[in-house]
Amino acid sequence: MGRTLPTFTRYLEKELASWNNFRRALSKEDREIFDRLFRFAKRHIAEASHAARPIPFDALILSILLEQQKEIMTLKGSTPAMTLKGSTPVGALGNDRLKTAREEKNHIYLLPVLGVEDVRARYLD
Amino acid sequence: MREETGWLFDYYPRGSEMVFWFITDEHGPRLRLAQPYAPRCYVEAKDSKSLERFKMSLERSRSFRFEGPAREKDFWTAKERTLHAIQVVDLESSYKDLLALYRKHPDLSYYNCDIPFEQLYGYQNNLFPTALCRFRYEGESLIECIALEKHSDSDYPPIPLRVAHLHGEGYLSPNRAALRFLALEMEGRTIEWETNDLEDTLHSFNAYLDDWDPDLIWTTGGDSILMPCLFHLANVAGVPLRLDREAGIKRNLGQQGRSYISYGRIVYRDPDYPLWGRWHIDHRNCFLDRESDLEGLIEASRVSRLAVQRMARRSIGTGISSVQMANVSQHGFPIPWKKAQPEGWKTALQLIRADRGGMTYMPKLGVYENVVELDFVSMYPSIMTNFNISPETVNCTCCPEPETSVPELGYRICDKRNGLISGALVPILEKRIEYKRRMRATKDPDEYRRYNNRQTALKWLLVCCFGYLGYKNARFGRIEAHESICAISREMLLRTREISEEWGYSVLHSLVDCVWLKKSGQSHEEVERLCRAIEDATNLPIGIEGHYSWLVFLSSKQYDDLPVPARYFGRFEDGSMKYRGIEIRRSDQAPVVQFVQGELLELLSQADSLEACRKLEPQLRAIALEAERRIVEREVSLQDLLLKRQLSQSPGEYKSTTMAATAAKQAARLGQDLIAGQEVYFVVIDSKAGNPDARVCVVDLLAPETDYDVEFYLVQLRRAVRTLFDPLFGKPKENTRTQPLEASQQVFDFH
Repeated sequence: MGRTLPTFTRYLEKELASWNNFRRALSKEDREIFDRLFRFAKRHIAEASHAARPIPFDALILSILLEQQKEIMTLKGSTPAMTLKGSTPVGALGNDRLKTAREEKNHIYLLPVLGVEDVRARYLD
Repeated sequence: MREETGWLFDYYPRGSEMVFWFITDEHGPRLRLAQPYAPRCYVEAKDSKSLERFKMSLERSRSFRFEGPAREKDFWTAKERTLHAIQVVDLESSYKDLLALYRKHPDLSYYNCDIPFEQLYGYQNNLFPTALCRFRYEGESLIECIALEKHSDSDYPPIPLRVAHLHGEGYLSPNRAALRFLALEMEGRTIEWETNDLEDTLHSFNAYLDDWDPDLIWTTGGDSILMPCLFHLANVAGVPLRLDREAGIKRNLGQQGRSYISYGRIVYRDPDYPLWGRWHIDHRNCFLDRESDLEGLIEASRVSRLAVQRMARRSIGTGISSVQMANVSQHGFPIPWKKAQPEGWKTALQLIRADRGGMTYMPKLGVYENVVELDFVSMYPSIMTNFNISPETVNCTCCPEPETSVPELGYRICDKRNGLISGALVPILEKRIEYKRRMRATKDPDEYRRYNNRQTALKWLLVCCFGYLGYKNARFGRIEAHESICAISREMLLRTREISEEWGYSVLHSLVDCVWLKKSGQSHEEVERLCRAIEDATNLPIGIEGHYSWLVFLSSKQYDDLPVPARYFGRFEDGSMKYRGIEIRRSDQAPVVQFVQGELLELLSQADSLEACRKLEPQLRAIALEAERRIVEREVSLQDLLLKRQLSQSPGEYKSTTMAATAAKQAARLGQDLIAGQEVYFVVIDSKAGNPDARVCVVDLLAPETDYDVEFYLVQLRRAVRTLFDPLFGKPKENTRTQPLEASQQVFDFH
């Protein structure tokens, strides 16, 4: 779009692609964790971009470290900065935590998602 | 000699004259007057030798006459220097001659010479389209015309137009045209022609045009088919059409539009069929009409001094360019043609710092209550005017050590001059604030709509002015000014975040010029005080977009732990909903999916808390289930299943067998002349079929008995439903992956 330099988002994509051989050699479980690390970095694109460092990889690593520290604090039970009173962050804290929070409050409305067959069975047969 | 008051309907160059059309009252005849016009252009030569050579070429040109040296100010440095004046003697042929001159003498600088003459006339005489004027004339010649209004006036009586609609059905190919049906409609009267006898039809059409004499003719698809078809047939039948009020207009009957790339997307534009002395506006070829109706189009035309038909067909960028040129011209500077300001040198590190846009944070995923959204009011234009950021003020030559410089980048900002390009925005910014104030004050829905249309048109002009600074072909573009605005916007967003956190708010999300803040027990008054504190710290106006009863920030579609900016939905305390990035807003979704999501959002708008949302769950699920049943039982009309895709290339160029490519090829086989940027509509028939042609059916081939792919549309529907349900009611259990529908989801995931 008429830019001279790639944006940090584009840089992340290219960086990830450049690690493709490493990624392929990983076991399936490790690969999922590896991908997760890059998603950690994606959460701080604005900050990393604002750093405007000549070597963007530094900002990528720091973003990952930051998110890891958050996870460590969550696991230790100390409150990470992102938990807010009165809200129920989805995903950010993981699904399990959400579910327990819900089950405590007796708000489980999890209907099974219907397949075509179910709908047919219900309405057509 | 006579003197009258009336609206300046239109004006354009013809030979060596300007032609003017006036409307003095709603019902009377329109008045055509003419006035000789010989505007002055300038050239600047490096040495006398190149000037002599230029003069020799000029003698052979029909359109220009050399006048002599003139002292004029330079826009970029504000210093006087010697230019050479040239008079334009033939307005219509001058642009062609100018291009020939430029090819021969590219070393000269040219001023004022490429601007459409009605615009130049407007700048120099303080006139603009639809202005109410006092004018004096003798016979058919205009002696003097003085506008009784200013383009910055926000209170102006609407110009009384006779508006007609022209409908037609026809066929058009490069060598053949046919008309099946034609209808003209005006003020409740309609005339239809069967078109069996073409010559009769055209004569009768002409007679009605003369009798009803409409000022504005609306069409849908007039630029692409109807007008070229009519003109083509009139040529064949030897009956000159009276669509133009001006006699003796010759036009090229081209039918092919253009494709070009804008913001990384291919855009298609229809050819132009404007009229002379009358307006023809094509609903399909007019961005501002879609956004803001005729009211907005006229507003933009008045502010930019661009003829209404040109404003209708050109991009907003052309409008903002004209606003800038008008301000430059009225401050006594000749307007440079080709840009002579190259980008300055930077080190790699400076480039890394400078070449960035606004800040796009990732939201904190989740569902929230007690959230307020603050938006900076027209942030980028406000930065330009409040910080004096203009192409000629950034790194100016006159202030080596100025008082102010740009954060992060250190660019110097001129102390001495007020930017003309930024200054041109002030009246527009003020006018827009005024319209918004009136919108809040009025109770009359008509008035509300009028002001809303006008302010929307102005919004688009403002949006565009910033981008144009970074556009390499823009006359007053300057990348350093563009970078400065981005740098200031980042600094001010950071300050906003810092202040909000100091005041005890959590920043959930921030996006270039807006922030979402959360704090329990916040009051409207407190947030107002916060806004004033932010304004003090940033020197930019900020306001409350709204208080949310509840708000959901959504994750990316692929990973539920990956936030994406600007994908959210929520309810304001007044009961209105705001949503971005979800299916209902996306142009690639089937209408049926969007209807259902709309229905769900409508119901959700009743819930004033998350608790209330959850109470609505059974009703919401019932809506979704009913929609699924309608899809399965084939009760959905094909119209509601149409998918729309914009072509990125011509059908023949596609090598892939994506749905869009296949549909485009089907259309091409039907003889449709599609090119890149145009849209193709189709229904999915059987997404898993081995033969790509059996997967989709282009809209033109649909028959009432065409059967659609139930499973495909169910998945589409479910995805849209889950966008809303998952964050509010939790995700369904993990075993979904084993269900047949989920497994097949990837197969036809065509994003």
